[in-house]
Amino acid sequence: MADSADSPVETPESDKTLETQSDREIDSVPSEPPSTSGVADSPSKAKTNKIDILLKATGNAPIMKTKKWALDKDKKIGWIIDFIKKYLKLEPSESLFLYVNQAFAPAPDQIVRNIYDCYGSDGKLVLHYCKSQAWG
Amino acid sequence: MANDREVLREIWDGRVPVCFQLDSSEVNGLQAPDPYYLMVPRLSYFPLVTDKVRRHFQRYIHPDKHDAEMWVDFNGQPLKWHYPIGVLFDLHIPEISLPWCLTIHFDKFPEAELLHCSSREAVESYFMSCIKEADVLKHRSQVVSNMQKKDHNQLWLGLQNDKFDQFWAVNRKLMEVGSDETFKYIPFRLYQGDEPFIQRLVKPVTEEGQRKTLFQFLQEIYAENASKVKVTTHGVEPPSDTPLQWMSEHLSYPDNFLHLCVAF
Amino acid sequence: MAASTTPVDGQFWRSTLILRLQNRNKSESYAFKDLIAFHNRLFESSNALRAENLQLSVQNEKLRLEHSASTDKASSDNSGNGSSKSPNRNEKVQVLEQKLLSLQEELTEMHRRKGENAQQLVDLNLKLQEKERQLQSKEASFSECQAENSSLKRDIQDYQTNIKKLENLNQIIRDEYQANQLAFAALEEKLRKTQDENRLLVERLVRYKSKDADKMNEDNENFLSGGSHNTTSSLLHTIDGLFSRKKQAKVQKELEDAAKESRAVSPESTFGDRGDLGANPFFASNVPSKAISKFEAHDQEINAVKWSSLERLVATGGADRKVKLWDISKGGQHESKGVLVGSNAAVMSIDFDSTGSLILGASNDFATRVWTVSDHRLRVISSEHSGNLRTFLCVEMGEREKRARGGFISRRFPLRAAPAGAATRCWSQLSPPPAAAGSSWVCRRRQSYVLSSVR
Repeated sequence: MADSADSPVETPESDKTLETQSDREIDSVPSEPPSTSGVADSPSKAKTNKIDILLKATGNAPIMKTKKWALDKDKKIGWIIDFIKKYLKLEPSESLFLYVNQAFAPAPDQIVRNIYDCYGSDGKLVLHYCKSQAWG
Repeated sequence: MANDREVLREIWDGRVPVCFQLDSSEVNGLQAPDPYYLMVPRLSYFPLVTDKVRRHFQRYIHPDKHDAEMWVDFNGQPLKWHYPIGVLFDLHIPEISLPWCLTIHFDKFPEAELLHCSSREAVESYFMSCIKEADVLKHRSQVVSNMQKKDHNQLWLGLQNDKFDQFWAVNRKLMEVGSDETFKYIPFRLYQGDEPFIQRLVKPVTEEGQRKTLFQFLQEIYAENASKVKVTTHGVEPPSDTPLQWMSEHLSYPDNFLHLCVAF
Repeated sequence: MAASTTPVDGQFWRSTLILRLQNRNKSESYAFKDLIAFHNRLFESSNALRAENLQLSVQNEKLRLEHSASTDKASSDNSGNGSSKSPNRNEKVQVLEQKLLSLQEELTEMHRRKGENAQQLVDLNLKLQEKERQLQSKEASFSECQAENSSLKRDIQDYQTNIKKLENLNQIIRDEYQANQLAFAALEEKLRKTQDENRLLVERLVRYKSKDADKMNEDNENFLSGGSHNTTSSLLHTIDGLFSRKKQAKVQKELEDAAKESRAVSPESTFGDRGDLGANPFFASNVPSKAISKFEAHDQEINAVKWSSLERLVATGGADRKVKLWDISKGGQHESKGVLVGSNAAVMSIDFDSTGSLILGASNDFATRVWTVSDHRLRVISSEHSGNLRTFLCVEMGEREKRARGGFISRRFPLRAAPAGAATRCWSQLSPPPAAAGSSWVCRRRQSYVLSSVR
């Protein structure tokens, strides 16, 4: 979407991901209108389709230099997991777990919007990642 | 409190007849295998009920694929194993003529659409994760974290072995309400066709302290479209004046979520 | 559980819901339940039957094979050459028989091998036993050798001790021989002395004889002169003188013979001696009235003084625990030749040996010491006096005693101490003498003594 590309980003270090995000957003564009059509237009929805996620390492997981990322709400949790793995240069065979509220692991096909709607606030969502099951 | 045993029992006993057939392109040999019919519990998950099916069809596939992951599709649509069977059924209700004919695959796993399910433990960890998430919404995670490991096991084994009493002995704790007689929020998921489901923070009571009905809930989500919405869960359309709190207590799936299929 | 808590106004929606659920179950579940259960049963039974069928067909096949085998056997037994199957059978039988034969051969081969192996085993066992016997004999011989070795070692030791003994004996014999030599020398000396004495006596005799002859001559002359006075007497005297001359000549001849004889006994001439004899009686003996030399020898009183027998040496022993040697050969001068130290108390008595090379000192510290004069070194200490040694009486010795003492010193026999309280005691390295012979060195062949008086 055009608006997503123009959207203000507070974190300058996330430029690269922004680009990749926008690339991927183009793929997911066609699926967007029907999903919004039935749902009541919330003011936030109109404003922006992006949120910031804060990624925090737990246990033995390596820390990420950049913690804050701007992210499309329609991304799936699995996409974030893959992104972290790639960022940390983990082997594909290594497992990585994401936790919300330090309480439960969302399904990889859960979309970020739902998680943000339930557990996020102020355009921010805190996610913990871990290489072994932490709150499992 | 979830104490309407009659309803719970009816819900628990919900089963659907399924006819499993092997994908004809994967048959290895001259003779196509017979279809395998099975009554599957609506509340269960496919990986928990398809052991016999797998054994039956394994004989007819190419030996190289014997240990491959089995997956299921309906009318060319892969079925997500981590949705309860009842939800999958309700999602496709318009297209279904009983028995529900599903195709079994061992080849060409649709990586983009399905999650891998390596074992029953994967199902268990997903199931427990759902229960925890639901408890975060209902009780700010208070109940689950106070439970012992054996309670978790009992929940899982109750579901796995289709033991109503065993399951509810523990699940009733999860359905307990606080002093204000309601949950903090209602854990629900709204499904609509192929779209990703919708999950929001919804309180079981209105701002005036009134118990929300299903209709009020739909209004909250869909606004003026609410009247057009047709909600199905457990294969039935709950009356629109059903209280949301009661629904959550009685009509939730074992993962403690209300799975509502929506159509316009 | 009754729907007691359900709100009254909820009865409707609840009953609707239940109805719908029941309908759902009716249409979805109950309609198919039996059917599918039946299907599952059929499926299982069909599976079971299929498995059973498979089993049965396998069994059937087996039975058929057995049957055909038995009939074949029967037919081959019965007809032998007739039936069409028999050649085939026969072939099979032949093959089998051949197999049997080969197996039997193998069996016999095995048996044979087994027998061989057993034989080998027995042989090896025998060998082993033999080896063990050999080993035992070797061990026995080894122990024997060891015993022999030890006995030989013992023998060697015995021989060595024997040798030592013999050496000792040899030494003793040598000593004895030396002593004998000394005794022999002494005896020779004695003989010489005796001969000298004899010579002297012979000389004296000759002198007396010549005196007699002179006297006789004088008498004869007197008689002759008297005859002139007295014819008879003078005649007699003349006759007598004639006779006496004859007699005198005869006596003179006799004397000459005697002198000759005595010369044969002693090498010295009788006439030479006569001069000596004349000088000998003139020895001047006078009392010393003036000291040639005077000097302070010791810091304290002098207990003993002794001349050396050879050099012009004087030894003094003093209360200052020292023995000093002095050379007084140059007239009135004196020169210290050395101080012999080692005594722990006053030196009471000293003595040189005959050769003048050793000096003996008796001390109040109950010890007797021997020094060598040439290098002033202490040679022997006998510290076994148990009494208070005041005087040391070890004085003159004859030539042979001194020599014997040299032997005694050289063999380093320890001096023996005299028990306390005894007035005079003998020290001996071998055995005490039956009786002490005064204050002197005594040597009786193999025995040497030092005599000391103890107060």
